Amino acid sequence: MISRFVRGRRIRAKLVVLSTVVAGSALVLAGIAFWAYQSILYVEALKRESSTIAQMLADNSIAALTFSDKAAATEIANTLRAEPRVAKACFFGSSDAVMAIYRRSGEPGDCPPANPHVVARFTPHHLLIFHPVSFNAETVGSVYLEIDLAEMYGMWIRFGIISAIVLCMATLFAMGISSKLQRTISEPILHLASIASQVSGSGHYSLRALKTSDDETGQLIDQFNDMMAKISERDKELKRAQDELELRVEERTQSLRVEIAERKAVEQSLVNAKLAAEEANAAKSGFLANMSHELRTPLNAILGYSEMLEEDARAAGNTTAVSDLQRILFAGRHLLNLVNDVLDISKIEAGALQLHLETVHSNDITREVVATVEPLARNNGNRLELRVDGGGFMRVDVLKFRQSLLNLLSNACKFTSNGTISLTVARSVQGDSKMLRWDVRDTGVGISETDMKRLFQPFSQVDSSSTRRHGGTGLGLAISQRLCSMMGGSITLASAPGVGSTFTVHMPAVDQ
Amino acid sequence: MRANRSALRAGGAIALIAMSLSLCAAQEPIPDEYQVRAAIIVNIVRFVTFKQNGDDLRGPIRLCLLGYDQQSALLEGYLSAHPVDGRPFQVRRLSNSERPEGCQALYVSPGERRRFDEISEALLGAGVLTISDDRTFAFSGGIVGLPVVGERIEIQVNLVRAEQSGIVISSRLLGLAKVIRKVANR
Repeated sequence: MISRFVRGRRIRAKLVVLSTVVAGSALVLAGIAFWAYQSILYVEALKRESSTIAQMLADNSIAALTFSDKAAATEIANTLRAEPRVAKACFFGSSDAVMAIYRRSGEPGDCPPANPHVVARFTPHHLLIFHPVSFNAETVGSVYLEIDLAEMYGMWIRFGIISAIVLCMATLFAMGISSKLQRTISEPILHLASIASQVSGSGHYSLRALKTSDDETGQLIDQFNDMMAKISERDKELKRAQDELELRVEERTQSLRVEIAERKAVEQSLVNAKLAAEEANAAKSGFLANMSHELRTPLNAILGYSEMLEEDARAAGNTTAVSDLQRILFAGRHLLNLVNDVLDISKIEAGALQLHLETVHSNDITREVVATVEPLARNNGNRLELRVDGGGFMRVDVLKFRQSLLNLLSNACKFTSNGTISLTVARSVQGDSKMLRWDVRDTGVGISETDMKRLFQPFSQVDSSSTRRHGGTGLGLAISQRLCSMMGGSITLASAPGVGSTFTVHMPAVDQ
Repeated sequence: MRANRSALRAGGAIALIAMSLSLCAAQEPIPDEYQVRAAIIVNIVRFVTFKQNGDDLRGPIRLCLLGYDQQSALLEGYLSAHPVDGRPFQVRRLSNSERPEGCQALYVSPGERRRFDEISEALLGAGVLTISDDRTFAFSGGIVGLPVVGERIEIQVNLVRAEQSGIVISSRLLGLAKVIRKVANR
């Protein structure tokens, strides 16, 4: 209850209340203890004194009771007038007859039945005492005393009143003293509190509390001041860091802007370059397509007339002219092939090539291709081997696929002499899809690692010298690969220089 | 008698024992004078310490009767029924010529007063407690007198004679008795 009362108060009131409560409760406790001690002492003393009186009365009345002398007994009883605490006394003879009665004025004159034993008993208002009267170990009677307890109660009440007065005065005194003394504790704290509230209100960390003592409050004030110093130092540092940060952010923003502008310029130039390149590429392809077309027309005329002339010369038996004309025919056909290749790659790159897809069985294509290549292989003393491990249907542009396969096989024949060219057809699986696979293996010159990378680029052969030796535009592989990938397949290469090369064609298999 | 009166000491409470003696219950008939006196004699013996050599402290209390009257007869009967501190009374009647040898207490009938005077010095030497109803007994050589004064029996004690006999009487009894401190004036 006290703590609830104190909790809401200011520190001054708390200190006063606390010290007053402490002093007051100590006084109350001390008072109660003293009162209890006094009461016990009083009761013990009363019992002792009363027993002594009873003992003396018993001794004095031996003869009177022995001789049943009522007058003598009454005389002895009347000596009790000197003791105001005795309310009543009775003397009993040996036959328990009442021999004498003493009573204080106002007390009733009756006696309780005699009791031959020593008794000391308290009732609410009296202390009752029986004491036997004996002479030479013979009981000649007994004495009964009634001691009034009014005096004891009076003492208790007086003690209570005095205690209450003393308690009140002492509590008032304690309040006065504590309200004086609490200032030594409360004032530094209140000062500190007011400084703290000023600081939190105004934000001036330069304010300092005044130290007035060296005790814990003094230490508290010192630490508060230290803390304030540190806070104000940190505040400054923070401000400095913030300023620096702003400056750096500004600088960085500036440099980023410049960088962004630069990048935009680069990007723009790249876009322009790309557009230019695309335009250039399209122009090139268009040019090549037009050129090839334009070239084919006169070439066809040349080839047609050369054949006619050759037939005429053969019929006329002019052998010299026949061999010359055959040379013209061969060169013209080669030129036509070159022009066709250029036309194909141009169409592919320009996205203008139209595929005519149909479903065909692998064996049909393989058979045709082998028949076509066989004489070519024999030319360089090569042996052609065919092995069919499996086959199936596929959906391709038959002409274009055959062209690709022929290209691979004729390359193998071209770059191998007195070796073996093998074609293996099989089914295979790539990921989830069923594929058909052609392996074209030769035992020719082989291709180095670096050359493999360039091999599928247009206009490239392993070296420029080989172009001259073997003829061809170097467009064959590039065209073949592009055609295969347009039909959903691929061409890959594995090779080791001096051992031979293996080109592998994969095409997706379809159901009938 | 006038001299005797002057010898009386005024102090001393007068024991007036009339009716309600310890031996009687309240509802019993009022005891007569002789019975009361017999009770007094027994109680007096309680408060008396006999001469050391004559009292073996354990044996019977030897009481002799000098002369024989109504009181003597009643006393004889009463004593045999009332021992003191567990010691019974041994009562002996002295014949005319018999010397009071071996007596610790002697009850003298008022009629034997002359004979008492003859042997009183011898009794003194023998330390015998002498008791009589005679009004002048305690004033004239006896130790305890139990005369009737008014309506009550008064206990008279001659302390001088008691001391001479070597008998010690309790001060408690003396509180009730009329104490005589003068040597007998015969």
